[in-house]
Amino acid sequence: MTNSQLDIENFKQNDYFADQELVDIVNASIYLKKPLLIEGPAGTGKTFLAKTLSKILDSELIRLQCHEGIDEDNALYEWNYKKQLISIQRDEKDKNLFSDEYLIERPILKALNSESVSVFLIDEIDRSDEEFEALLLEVLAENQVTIPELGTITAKSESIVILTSNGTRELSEALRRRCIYYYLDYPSVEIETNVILKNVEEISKEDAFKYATFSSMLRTLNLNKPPSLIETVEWVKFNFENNIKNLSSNLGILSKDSYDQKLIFEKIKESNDIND
Amino acid sequence: MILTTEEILSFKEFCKKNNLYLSSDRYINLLNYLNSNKQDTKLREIEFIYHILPSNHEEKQKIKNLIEHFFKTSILDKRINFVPIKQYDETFIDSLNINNLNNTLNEIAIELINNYGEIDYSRPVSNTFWLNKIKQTIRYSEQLTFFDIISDNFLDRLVNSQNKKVFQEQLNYFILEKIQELRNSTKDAYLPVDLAPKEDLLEKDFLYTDSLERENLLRETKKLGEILANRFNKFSKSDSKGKLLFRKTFRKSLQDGGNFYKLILKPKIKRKPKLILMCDISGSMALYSLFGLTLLFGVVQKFSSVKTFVFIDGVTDISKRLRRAKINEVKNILNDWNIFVKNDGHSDYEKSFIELLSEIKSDGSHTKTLLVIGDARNNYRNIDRSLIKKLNEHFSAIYWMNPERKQYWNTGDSQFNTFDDISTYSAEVRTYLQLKNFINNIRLSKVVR
Repeated sequence: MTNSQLDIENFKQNDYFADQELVDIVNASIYLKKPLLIEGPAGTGKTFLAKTLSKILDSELIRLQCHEGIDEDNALYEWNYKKQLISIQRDEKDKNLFSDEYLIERPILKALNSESVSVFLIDEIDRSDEEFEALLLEVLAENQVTIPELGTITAKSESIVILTSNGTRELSEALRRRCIYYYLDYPSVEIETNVILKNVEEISKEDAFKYATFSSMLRTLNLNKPPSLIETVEWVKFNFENNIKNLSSNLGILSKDSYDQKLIFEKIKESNDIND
Repeated sequence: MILTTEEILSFKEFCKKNNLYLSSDRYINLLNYLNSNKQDTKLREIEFIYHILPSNHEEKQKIKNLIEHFFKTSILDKRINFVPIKQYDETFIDSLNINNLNNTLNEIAIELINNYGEIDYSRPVSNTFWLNKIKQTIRYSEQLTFFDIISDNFLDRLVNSQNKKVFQEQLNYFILEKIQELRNSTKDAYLPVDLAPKEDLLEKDFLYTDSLERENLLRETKKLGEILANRFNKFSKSDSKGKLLFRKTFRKSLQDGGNFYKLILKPKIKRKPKLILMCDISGSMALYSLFGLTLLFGVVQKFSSVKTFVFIDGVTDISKRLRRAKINEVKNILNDWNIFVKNDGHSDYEKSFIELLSEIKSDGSHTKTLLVIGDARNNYRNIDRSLIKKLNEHFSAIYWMNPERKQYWNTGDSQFNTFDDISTYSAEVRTYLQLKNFINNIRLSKVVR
């Protein structure tokens, strides 16, 4: 486990523009050995944070993508039934059918068995069922898991656990209690400016700031789906690199909702009319 | 550690006093972290209170307010970056430079306070009162004239208005700081330390919100609707997954010489959800109908087969309309009040529920759960006991949100008791937090039978 504190520069060197608050929280989570629960709208860089952290710490990223109906077979372990059956047929009586040899590791077990420090990402935990959350509690609190046939397996090294959620359902208090919480909102204008500068060739800081301000203003318009950071960057990149000056152009890159596009278009038009 | 343990414990008590209960292990984590990781300033340590203690978004917002009130300091002030545009004059651009900005704002704040004249700190009013007085002066408006520019470029105008907003916020902050400083140095000054912390928006009665607050709360209410829909959706779908189909497994094994290589499980059967939502939109519901409708809107957006109704003196199915609507258009439904009036325009719960039962029967679905948003004020009309019995038989669970203060339930023409008898769960819902608690308290295991 890393003993030194991370700083904004560490993230920046890996193309992640974080503010001090996020860096502080990551440091606190690593020091206290508590999982970090990150909630926030889609497209704000929650998953990317875990990827960046694994790069910074030069450690393996183990990812568990949650979905509806996910259970311990997908997340924790599964017995290799075929191999067990073959062993039975071969009459290998001396072999224990419930030993490591027949165990298929799924991400949680893989993270626990990892010899070196790893970043364990449990992505979109809110998509899973409430029963699955209960399964995670032992892993999150004790860093161990109990397999009935094998007993308790304790982590060989201390993983950094990151859970992400889009807030589509309320997570249980038991799970929250075991984590350090962070709400990752849409980025500030300053961070968005930096991301645009990084991704759009030859754009000036002034222009990048203007586009970031525009994007930030759009997010106050009560849209059905406010533009995410990546959508803004792609839109600016396309328009700027193709020398398209009209803001109403290619709104399809920025917003995927016809109602939102109409609203953005009207806002731009209204502002131009006032000026006329 | 610069902060003392006593200070942190007093803060814990302060949080309790303001209805924020945080578990002790969170404070232990905080103390552990601060003890082992030395911070440069007290403010940095206070920031970690904000980082480590809360466990959800609401707690985070609440704790921020409480920290400001308890430690008399605002945390996480973002570094301000102004982007100069060509229309600004050079001296102004220079003063907005990040190195000069604090000095500039400090000087302007002192000048504005002096210009206002003698401030009577003995008056029992807050610093904001004096700030508002200063904001009304011509000199204050003059400070913002730098931003009165003319440009034909939309982005320039946008950036300018953003700069102006940030400048004004920062200037106000500096004025408040200066006023506090002067107040502290004045003998006989009234020190508003006992004033209650700023009312948390999440606990503010919907009725007393201003338009901006309402907009924010409506957005959050829609999200709650989506959360409710997601929870319900999960329960109604996970009914029969995972059962072993022995016959198919056995037949499959014959392909492999009788070895059970592949287990065949019963597929998930997606069952139609059985949730009915209805919202009273009569006059007595006032602004609460808008929040009720927005909640319905959130549910419908995520879970299209839910049936939603509005009612006054009869029900109207608005499911299709809500499904096609956008969040800004939800309030338009209330403008079409005349469409929903079936008789005299006064709430009639009996007639509405009779119509509801016949509507649901006519589409052949077996409804199970009903969620009602209404104050049960029936304009002194009777409610037949047989109707209550029918409702009880028809729905496996009835949830009732009543926006009226609990003390007024069953007074006057309110017949809430009649419905409360058959309600699985009912509660007063006038604020966002109450609404959130209500949704969390819905026990969906009772929904699917």
